[in-house]
Amino acid sequence: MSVLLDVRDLTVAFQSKDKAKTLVPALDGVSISIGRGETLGLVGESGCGKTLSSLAVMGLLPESARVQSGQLLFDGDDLLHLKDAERNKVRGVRIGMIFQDPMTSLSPYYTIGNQLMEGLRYHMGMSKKQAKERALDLLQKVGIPGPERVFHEYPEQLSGGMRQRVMIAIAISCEPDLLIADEPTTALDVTTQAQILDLLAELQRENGMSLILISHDLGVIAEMCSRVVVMYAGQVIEQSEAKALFADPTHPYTRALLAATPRMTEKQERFYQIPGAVPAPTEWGTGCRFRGRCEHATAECGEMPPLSRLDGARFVRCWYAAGQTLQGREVRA
Amino acid sequence: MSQPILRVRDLKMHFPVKKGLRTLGTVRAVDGLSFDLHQGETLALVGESGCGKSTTGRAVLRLLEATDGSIQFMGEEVRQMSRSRLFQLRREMQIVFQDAYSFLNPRLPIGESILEAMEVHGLHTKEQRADKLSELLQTVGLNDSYAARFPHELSGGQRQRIGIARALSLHPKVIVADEPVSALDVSVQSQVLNLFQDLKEQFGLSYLFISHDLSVVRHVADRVAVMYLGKIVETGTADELFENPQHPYTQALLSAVPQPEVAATRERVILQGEVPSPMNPPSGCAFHTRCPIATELCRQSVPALESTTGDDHLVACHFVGGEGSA
Repeated sequence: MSVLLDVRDLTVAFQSKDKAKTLVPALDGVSISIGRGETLGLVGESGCGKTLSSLAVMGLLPESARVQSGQLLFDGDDLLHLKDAERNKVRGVRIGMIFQDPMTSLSPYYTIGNQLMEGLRYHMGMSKKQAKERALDLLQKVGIPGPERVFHEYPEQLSGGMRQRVMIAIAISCEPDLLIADEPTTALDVTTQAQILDLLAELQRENGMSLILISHDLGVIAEMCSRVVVMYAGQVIEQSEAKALFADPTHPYTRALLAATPRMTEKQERFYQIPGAVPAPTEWGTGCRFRGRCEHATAECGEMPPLSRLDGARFVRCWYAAGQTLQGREVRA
Repeated sequence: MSQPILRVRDLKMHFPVKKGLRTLGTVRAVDGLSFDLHQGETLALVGESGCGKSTTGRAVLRLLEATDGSIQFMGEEVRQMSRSRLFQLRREMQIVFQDAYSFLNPRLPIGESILEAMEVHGLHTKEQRADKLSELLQTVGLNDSYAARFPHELSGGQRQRIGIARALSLHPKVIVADEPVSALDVSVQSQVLNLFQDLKEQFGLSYLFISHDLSVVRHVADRVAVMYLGKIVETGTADELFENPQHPYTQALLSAVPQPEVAATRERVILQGEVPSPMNPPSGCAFHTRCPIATELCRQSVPALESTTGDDHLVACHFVGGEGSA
């Protein structure tokens, strides 16, 4: 599988608005790559940097954000160094993105048809007639009943699930190579969520596009993704094939997260509890950022562990987990 | 079994939809709901947006005036309570919302917010209240220093703990918990759920637990009622309902919940279409428009919520156990 997007060592900080212009770190050396046709899951809790990473790829970082180092290689080009005109040929065309709440991305003042045609006319240079035909096709493709009617409707007239379908139609309108879906089903009911996830999987199969699925819901990730990146406090802490990750997580945080996730299959009297809370960027310090909450933490964890390869496609940022696996190998050898 | 602490019979909540002076129709948010909540029990109301679960929670506390039906709290009719009796009732039944932000006064230190509740209800002397406050904070896993903080200084999980502490300050018997962990991250969610469990044991509380998250409900509920368009379509013990769901809607709902494991194959029932508007609910069984096994019978007649096996597992479907079953 050839690499489509290669985020290398991305470090982003927020600059405060006051005179001091203090920099608060947000992403710290994040490297994520995704192959053509692959579905990659990005998981972590609020504030871990999963959304920020994707915004950086789209060139949508907030004004106060500063990219301090790193590369965003998309099909060989560094997105960080593209001119605006060139970037616009990538963003919205070769990379599409959908968000959690379609209401914030759709304009309440224009009809669905108008908003769908905008991209087609601007990016693909279609005539009004062509764009309308294509827009109706797209609405059909994302499973909207009565495309002709919906074409003339406004976002507020649609349900949450239908709005998300419209967003997906817009995002795939220029046949992107990569679709980034940021919590696409978090605001939806489970039965609607199942419909939307099915639609995404189907579109991906048909168009052979790559999909980055960002979610806090480990169930959604397990269902959809072939590979998973787990983030914690601005860093990638584990990366693995989905099957291996869910069957045998190695980083203590991933393990704790999975243990704390309620499952429908078995009843637990008590939930596994991760003590404490995610540290704020000002409390990151120099060592492992999970050490304050980790049952395996030792003095060694005062030093930041590297993201080291365990085997094949498996990487973990933990002295303990890396050591365990190596020990296991020695015993076996 | 002993007398239920809360007994709801044929509850209806209808909202007129008006445009100017004209009434366009009626939203039947809750349309004939009956359930019992027993002492020390957790009953979960589950269902998708718009099924009427939150409206039910509010009607039970009389935060909304019910259109019809009966709500009995320890044998006393809530709908006929005088203002002063209702004031007392609110001590005995408390509500915890999804986001504590929505009810905490942003300009008041959270300690004051908790003290206020006790003061309004004339509980304890001033000194006792101060002691009680620190005891409450400790109960929900926070220390005294939090009393002086403002709501915006707390994380979502901490605010939820404050919501719980305030509810507890009045020694309630029943807590209506409306999506109490939906806004929280997994690791915080598990902390708050464990707290709910501890408090239930410690104080013998009864919970009416309103949630859309079936994975959470699996663990906290003793009994479950599944709602669809203002009606209960299936109810039973949590074990029975999750292991042996009977109603096609319950089956679809359970199968749609993604599980955190990579399974070789998974049978999923994907429902087509969307929940119809509660303003014009479908005829007969309200679920027939999306049901994979619906027939003419379902379009015409409303199935009764009945026991299929003689125990308290009730299902409202023509095709389960009853007359139409194949």
